[in-house]
Amino acid sequence: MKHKSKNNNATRNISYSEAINEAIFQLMEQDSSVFVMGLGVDGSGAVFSTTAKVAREFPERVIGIPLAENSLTGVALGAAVAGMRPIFTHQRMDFLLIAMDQIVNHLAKWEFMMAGKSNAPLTIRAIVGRAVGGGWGQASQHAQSLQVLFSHIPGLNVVMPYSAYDAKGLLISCVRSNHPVFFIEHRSIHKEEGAVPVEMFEVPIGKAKKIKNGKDITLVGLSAMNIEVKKAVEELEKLGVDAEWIDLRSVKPWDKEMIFSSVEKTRRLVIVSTDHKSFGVSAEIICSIAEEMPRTMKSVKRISLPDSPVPAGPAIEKEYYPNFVDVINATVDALGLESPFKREDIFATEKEQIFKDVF
Amino acid sequence: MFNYDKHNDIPEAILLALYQKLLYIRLVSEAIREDSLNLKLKCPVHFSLGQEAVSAGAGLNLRKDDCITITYRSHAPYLAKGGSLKEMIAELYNKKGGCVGGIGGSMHLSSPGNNIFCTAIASGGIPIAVGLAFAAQMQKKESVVVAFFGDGAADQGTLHESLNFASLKKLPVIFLCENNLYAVEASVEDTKANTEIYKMAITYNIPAVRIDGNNILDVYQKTKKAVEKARQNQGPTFIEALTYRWLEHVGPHYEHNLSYRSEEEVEEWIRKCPLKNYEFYLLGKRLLNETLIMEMKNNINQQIQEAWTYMENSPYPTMEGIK
Repeated sequence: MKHKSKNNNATRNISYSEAINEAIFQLMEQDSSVFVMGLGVDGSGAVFSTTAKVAREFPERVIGIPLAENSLTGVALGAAVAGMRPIFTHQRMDFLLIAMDQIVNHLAKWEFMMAGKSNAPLTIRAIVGRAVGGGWGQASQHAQSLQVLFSHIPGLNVVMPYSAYDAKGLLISCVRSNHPVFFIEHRSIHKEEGAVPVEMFEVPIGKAKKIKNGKDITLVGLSAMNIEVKKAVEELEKLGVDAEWIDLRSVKPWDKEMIFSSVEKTRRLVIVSTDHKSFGVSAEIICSIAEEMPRTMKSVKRISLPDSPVPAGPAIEKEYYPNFVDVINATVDALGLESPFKREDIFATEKEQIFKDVF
Repeated sequence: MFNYDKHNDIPEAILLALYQKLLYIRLVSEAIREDSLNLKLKCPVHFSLGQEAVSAGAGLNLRKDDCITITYRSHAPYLAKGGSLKEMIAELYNKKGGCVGGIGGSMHLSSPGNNIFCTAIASGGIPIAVGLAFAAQMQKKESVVVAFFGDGAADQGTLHESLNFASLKKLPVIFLCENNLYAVEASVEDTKANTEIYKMAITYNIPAVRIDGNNILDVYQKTKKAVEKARQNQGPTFIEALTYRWLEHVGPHYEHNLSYRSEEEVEEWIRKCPLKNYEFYLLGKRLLNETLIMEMKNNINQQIQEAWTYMENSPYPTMEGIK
C-alpha cells in the first residue's frame, strides 16, 4: 500500500510542467488503462519534461510513435473505444492539422454515430509554441493557437489551463472524462510556478476561475495571455481601477454563467485571448452577451493576435503579440481615462531568453 | 468456374453455414433493392451485390468479441458479423429502432454491442481497426480485428501509416481489401501505379496475399488462417480479395449505359456470381437440394418480413436526448 499523506490538502509550489508530469503519473498509477503516446514522449526531452516521470516508471505505457498524426489519432481513438484512456501528446499544436480527418470526421462524432452506445475517452495534449522575446521565434507553423478550430466542432471539448493548479486538476478531469478533450498548453507558461495539491483532484471542465474580484471592468484572460492580464491588473490598481479578472480556462464549453454575471456588474469587458481576432473565442463570448443580454454593455474590446500568420524575429514578434500595455490601454479607454503607458516602453526591460527555455 | 474442391478439408456443417450466410445477405440486399427501385426507401445505399462472398467467408471466422471496421458499403459485413437485421432495416429508414438510432442510415451501420464500427469516410476505419487491435494487445485479450476497405481506400496515406504501425507492433489485425476494381467510377488501372494492392503490405513486412474474392471457400480459408495467426500474437495479415460490384457505386441500378465499364464486363462478372456458383457446387456434392434451399429461403424471407414490420412500427427519432 502506497503511503498517503495525512493532510489531503497539502500543497507546495511546483511548475506547470511539473504539475502535468505529476497528474499523468498519478493517473497512470491509479488506472492501468491510461497510457501516453506521441512523438518524443519516451525521448530525452520527454515533451518539455512533462512525461519524464512516467517514461521512467511505466515505460510499457509510454509509447513513442511514427510521424503519422492522422492514423495515430485513429489508433488512439480505436484504443479508447476498446476501453483504454490514451493521452495523445503533440509537442506542437500545428501538427494536429494533419489529423483533421480522424479528429473531425471520426473522434468528434464517434459517440453520436454510435448512438451513445460507444464512447471515446481520448485526451489530446497539444502545445502552442511561442518565443517570449529575445529571439528563438517559432514562426508561422510552430506557434499557432488553434483552439477555435476544434471548439467549432460538435463533440469536442477544449480546455486551456493557465495556472499549475489548473494544469493538474484539468488534466485529471480530461483523462477521467468519457468524451474527447483537447488539453492545450502554452509553451510560455510551462515554467510558471504555483501552489498545487499533492493529492489528485479534479477541476471541472467548462468552469472559469475568478482570480480577482472587481467592480469597474471585467478582464477575461485565456491561457498564457493571463500573464499579461496579471501585470495589467497590478498596474491598473495603481491607477485606481478596480478590475475583475477571470481566467476562462475552458474554451468549449465556456463558463457563460460566470462571465454573464460579471459583466452584468461591470458592464465593460476586455477579452485577451491567444487566437486570431476574426471568428475567435472573444467573438463567441461577445456575441453571446449581445444576443442573450442586450443593452447591458457599455464597452467590449478584443485583444487577440492579428489576422496574420505568426512571424519570427525579435522585433516583429513584439509588434505582433499583444502585451499588458494593450490590456491597460483597452481598459482605460473603456473607462474614458488616459493611459500613462506606451506599448514600446516595456520592450527595453525584457531579459534575454536561452534556447532551451523556449523551444 | 471456381475450384472449390481444393478445400476438401472444410467440414460439411461449415460449407452449409457459408451458403446460408451468403444466401441471407443476398436475399436481404434484393429486398432492400426493391424498395430502393420503387423509391419507398429514400436513403443512399451502396450495395454489395456480387461481392458478398468476401464478407460471408470472413464473417464465419469471427467471434462476437472480435471487432470489424466497415465502410459505407456496409450491409454485407454488418450482416456477416451478426448485426441485427431488424435494426439494420430500421436504420435504413431512419427509424429510432435502427442500430444507431436512425440518425445514420445505410452508410452508418454500426453495432457497438457486436463490435461493428462503421465509417463513411473511405479509409477512415483502417487506423481505428489498428487502434482496437492495439488495445487488445495491451489488454492481453485474444480478440482480433478485421478492417474492411475497398481499392479506393488503398490510395489513401492512412493505409500506409496503419500498415506500418500494425507491423511495427505486431498487432492482431487483418487488412481485408475488397478490390472491386472501381473507386466510384475510377478503375484501378486509372488510379494505381501498381494494381496489385496486396504488394503494398509486403513493403511493410506484412504477409500478404491476393485471392479470388468470389470464391467463398478461398475467402473462408485465408481469413481463417489470418485470424488464427493474429489470435496467437503472430501479427497482421493483408488479404486482397478480387471481386466486382454489379450495381452502380451508390443506388440500386445496373448501369449498362455508362461509359466507364462495358456491359460485357459486367455480364462476365455476373457469370462469376459467388452465390450461384457455390450453390451449383453444393448441389453437385449433394449437400444441398432444392427442398433444403427452399426451406432456407423461406426462413430468411420470414426474418425479412419481421424486420420490415419492426421498422414500420418504429417511430422517427427527434433531437431529444441527442448531443
